[in-house]
Amino acid sequence: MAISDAEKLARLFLDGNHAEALRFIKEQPNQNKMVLFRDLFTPAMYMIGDLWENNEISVADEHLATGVCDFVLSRLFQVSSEETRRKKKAMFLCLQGEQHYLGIKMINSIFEDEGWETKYFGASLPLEYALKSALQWKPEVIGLSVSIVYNLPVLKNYVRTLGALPNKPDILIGGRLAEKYDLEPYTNNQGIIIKNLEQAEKWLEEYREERVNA
Amino acid sequence: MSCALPVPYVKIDKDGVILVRSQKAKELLNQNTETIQDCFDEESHNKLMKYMVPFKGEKTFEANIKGKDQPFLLCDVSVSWEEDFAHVVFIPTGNQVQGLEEKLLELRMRLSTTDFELFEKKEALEEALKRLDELSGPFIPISEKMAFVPLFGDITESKMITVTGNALKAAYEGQFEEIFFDLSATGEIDENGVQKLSELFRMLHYMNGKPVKIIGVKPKHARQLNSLNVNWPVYFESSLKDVLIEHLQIGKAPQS
Ligand code: B12
Repeated sequence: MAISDAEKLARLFLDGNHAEALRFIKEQPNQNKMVLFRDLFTPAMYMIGDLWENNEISVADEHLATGVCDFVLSRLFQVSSEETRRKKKAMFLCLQGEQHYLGIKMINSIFEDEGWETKYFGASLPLEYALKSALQWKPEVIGLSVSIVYNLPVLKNYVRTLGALPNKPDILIGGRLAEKYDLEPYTNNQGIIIKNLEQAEKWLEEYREERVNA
Repeated sequence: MSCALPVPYVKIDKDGVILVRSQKAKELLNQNTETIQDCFDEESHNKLMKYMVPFKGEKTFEANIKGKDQPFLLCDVSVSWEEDFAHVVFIPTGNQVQGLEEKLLELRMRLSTTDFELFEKKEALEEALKRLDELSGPFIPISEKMAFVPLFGDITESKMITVTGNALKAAYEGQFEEIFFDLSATGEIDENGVQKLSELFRMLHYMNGKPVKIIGVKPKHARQLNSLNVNWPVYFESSLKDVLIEHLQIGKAPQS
């Protein structure tokens, strides 16, 4: 049976083979970041979740795979520092306690590609740090990521607090749970829920158009 | 009886209802758990269900257990069925993973601070070093029939590998009758360097049908070259000046 490219990538992650994984990605005919994230990276990580459910791998394997995936993302998708001054600013973080940061790392990378200046905080950022940073830096967009149910209760607080900042940033809410559950009750109508990469792309497009029309 | 078992243990029926729990299980699990399902994180239920149909022998799988004071407690769960009852043992593995987690966290911090520009600089540096090696043994055609290879600096194995590649290619493309290697500007020659140098000379000899010539040999080099039991397929000439004078005279003779 032919195995999909996403599965190949998942295997390379699980083997800890970062060199092959890098090469595999570099050799993809379509180097569009959105496509690579949507068709390869994300499904590969979800597949790893399925393997765990089938008792084929352990959480320790998931850790290794995560490390390799992270390495490949960092290695391939760094932005050059010489870029011209970027105008729009966005910061990205996972809610306190949340260690599933790969998704928001991809989102951060896509925003950078779109010409945004970004701050990427990765896993588990306590609200007080997020607030302090946002007060000083004044980003137009703050992206939050949440993957485990147990972390949901604090979401409301993040959205309310960050949404009330004087410069009124857009609060984007994403992560595994955004697709799985209705997060509306947690957002006090202050946040924008983004279920997946396509919706993120659409939001960016609309934002661009609004800017042009404004 | 089983209450005193030194591990978290529960006995369940076919529907998952908990019939007996050990003291350790009481310490580990939430108080208000009635069924085995209650003990598992919702997203470990699928996995649990695969073991809820009676089977022979025992099976172990990893799952997230709702702990007394922890929402996710990673455990190895072992199940064995005895007719309509199952014995279930929970062994928390979280701590084993914790060490790993910390190491990875450290790595991740490093990763986020690793300057990938530095990585690229290192690659560029390696390129530059190779280029330097190339320039330390340039293959210079002086005339159609004569080529000249001055070796600058210390002769190391890595340098000789680069020089050999270039020299063989150039020798193959041209038709040189005489190839001179000049050691006037050569520093130290290490043992592996000597080895590679002799290999190069031998290869050029085969390709040209004529031994290469070495000039500018200092006494120090002579000693180093002879230290190895190599039968040098070369002629030693005194200096570039002598060689060129001789060569130019031969070249000029018919014209004058
Ligand atoms: C890999 C993985 C891990 C890795 C971490 C990966 C990482 N750093 O991101 C490691 C091994 C560290 C890990 C640890 C744990 N995990 Co885990 N993990 C997974 C796994 C297998 C895949 C997750 C993943 O990488 N997905 C790929 C990414 C790209 O997808 P994504 O996050 O959804 O992001 C996409 C979109 O949502 C969007 N997006 C994401 N964020 C944002 C933000 C914004 C603003 C926008 C616009 C968009 C956006 O963009 C992404 C692009 O496609 C899942 C299984 C599953 N089915 O999801 C379990 C899973 C999520 N983990 C789970 C658990 C329980 C844990 C642990 C508690 C296990 C343990 N006992 O140790 C720990 C604790 C983590 C914690 N405290 O947060 C459970 C959660 C259960 C629950 N009830 O919520 C799952 C579902 C597995 C399971 N079936 O039990 N895990």
